Amino acid sequence: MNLHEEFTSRKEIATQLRNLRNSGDLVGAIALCGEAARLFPDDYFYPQIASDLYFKIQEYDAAAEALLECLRKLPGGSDRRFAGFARRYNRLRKVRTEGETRKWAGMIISEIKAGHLDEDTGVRCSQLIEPDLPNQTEISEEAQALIPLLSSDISFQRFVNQAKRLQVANNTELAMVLDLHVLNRTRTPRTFRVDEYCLSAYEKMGRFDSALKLAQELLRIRLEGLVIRSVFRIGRTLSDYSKSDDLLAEHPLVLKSNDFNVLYELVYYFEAQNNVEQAQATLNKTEKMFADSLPILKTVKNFYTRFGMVDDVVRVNRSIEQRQTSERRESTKFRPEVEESEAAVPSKIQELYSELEHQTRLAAISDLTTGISHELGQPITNIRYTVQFYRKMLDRKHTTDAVRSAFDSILEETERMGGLMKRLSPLTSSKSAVETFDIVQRIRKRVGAEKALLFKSRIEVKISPEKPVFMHVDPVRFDQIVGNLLLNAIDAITERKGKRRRYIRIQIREDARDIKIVFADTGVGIPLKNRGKLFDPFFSTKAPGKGEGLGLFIVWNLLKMQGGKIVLDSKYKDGARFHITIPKNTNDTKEI
Amino acid sequence: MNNTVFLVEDEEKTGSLLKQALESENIDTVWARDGKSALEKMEKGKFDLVILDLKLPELSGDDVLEGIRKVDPYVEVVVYTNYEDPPVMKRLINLGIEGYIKKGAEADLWQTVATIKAKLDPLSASDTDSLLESLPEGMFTENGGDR
Repeated sequence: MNLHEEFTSRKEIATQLRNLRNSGDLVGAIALCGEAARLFPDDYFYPQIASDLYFKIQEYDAAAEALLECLRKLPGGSDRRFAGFARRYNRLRKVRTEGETRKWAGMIISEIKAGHLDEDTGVRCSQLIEPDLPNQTEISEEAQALIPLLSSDISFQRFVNQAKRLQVANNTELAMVLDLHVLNRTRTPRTFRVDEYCLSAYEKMGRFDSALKLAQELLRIRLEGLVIRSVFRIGRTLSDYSKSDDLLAEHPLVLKSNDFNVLYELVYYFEAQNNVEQAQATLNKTEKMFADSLPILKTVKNFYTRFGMVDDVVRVNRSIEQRQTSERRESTKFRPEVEESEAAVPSKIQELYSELEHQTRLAAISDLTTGISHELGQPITNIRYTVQFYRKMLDRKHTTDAVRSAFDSILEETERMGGLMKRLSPLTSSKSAVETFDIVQRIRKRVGAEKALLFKSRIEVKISPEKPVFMHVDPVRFDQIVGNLLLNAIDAITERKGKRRRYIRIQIREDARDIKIVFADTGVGIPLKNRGKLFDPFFSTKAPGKGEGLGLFIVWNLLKMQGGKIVLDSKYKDGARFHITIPKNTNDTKEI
Repeated sequence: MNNTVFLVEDEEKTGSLLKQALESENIDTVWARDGKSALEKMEKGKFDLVILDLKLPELSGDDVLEGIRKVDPYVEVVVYTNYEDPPVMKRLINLGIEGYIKKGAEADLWQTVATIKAKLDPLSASDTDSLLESLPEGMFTENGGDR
């Protein structure tokens, strides 16, 4: 049969199959699958279709048998193909008894062992069915060869090679061997490197408890950087640093480590604890110690950027540029660390800081439109779903209640859309009326408007100085700036439970050129990881529905329009503190 | 046997209407309202299909998908969103998604239900498979199929 005929006949079979199925003749379709399978014995999809048909008529045993036949023919190397098998396997697993599944899994594993399956398919399959297998007792030759190599570091390289082979062939078996021969043995300097390798193998498998057990025991022998790194990295993966805390309590010297592997993880650790000073100190130390390593400097810079430590970014950027001109080729060392830290930096911020000297504007237009399209898409979806849902309900049953709830829902959603537009209006309205007024007085008035809320939340507002400070700006925009900051501060303080000092402090200073306002609260503060995104539109950490993430974005833009700026004080710990600068002379007020 | 769909959606109204609509068609629906609880509820082989909203508070949709894939690498996942950010889409495709349902101006509740039902039908997978596979190797190469 040539290729063309083959194609035609396969296509015909597919058409016939579909016709039989559509006419409801599933038994006929199964018979056709059988014929097709005889005609094209290498094709895996005829038994697969047969399995689906058997499933449909609830003949699950036959479906399982057909699926096994399909598996024998299934070519490897394709995620999609194997996923097709896996879903069918799981589907059958749900309808059959545990005993049946165990027996079936046993049959599959003997096919794998007999070499009847494609190699890649076999590896994927043994991982998939592993939980359903009866307890294994036999172990493979690869696994047997590994066991003697575990007993000493002398043949470390051979051990690593063998372990890698087994890892590829049968990762589950590797875990089994390690559980039996490594996990519970006594740690000695003679097997330190072997055990260290097993620790990272456990970590890769996601067996974090076992990895941490090995790490803890190994560290009693020697404070090895890679082992320490694993403990911290697992803490980071699990968002649970308690084991790292234990480690630091037992081995405080780790904090003095000069190993980049350790320093890198320490930064993440301090970030998780929101310990700005320690994170910065660790980065400073790393920067000094590895001043001639380009990848490390880049990693350090990415951290600074993400934490919004502007001065540090500028400094380290300078050393990177110097390095880059003197050094052409980059070493591949620490590339994963560079990439990981880079991935964590929002790209926009990276651009922003790379052109820091020019004080580029926040490249936020794309974020803004994406945000708006999401914010509007949601109410539109809800309106459409509501109408579609109740229209069908009405077809089934006429009730005025259904109509009423549909109307209510639609009105609610349109209000939501209107709300978004209103919220953004300070940025879109172009008229700007500038006048001279006392800003201290103005701030007091704005704070007074929130008196009820402040009283309810037991928050004191301290404004200094008492004497007037005059300024020539747009009072409406000024009110919006103060108002947004004020409401954010109230939310932040309210969110912080059981805080004895609840106050907002607003200090105004002036020099010849600028008015400077320091706006501080004793609220929850801004975690390190969010600082880079603070002024982005639609970035919010408040509970859903509590904030749309536009306040600081609006403030940032309003200040920008008047040639001013706002910066978060990265050193302030007791809440959040912003430094705002507005030029006194706003004759050259910019419009965006 | 009823199918079970896992719906991850933070929007109260969208989630509630979709859940009601699916259940009116006898499809069991487990609903998680944020990424964290989604990962808690996820179990290997438990769900026939996951419908995942990409815009979630705290844990983002792509992170949730990564977590879901760790538990069940093979479950069918349909993402549910009204915006497509190219880098995010790229990551999602790498993590394996089987389709997406649009939100916004094109949102259609019963069409969504129909799409999900079609995906759950044991025969529907065969349909696409057999169509794709009935073509000989090389059909889609640059030279075309008429060799």
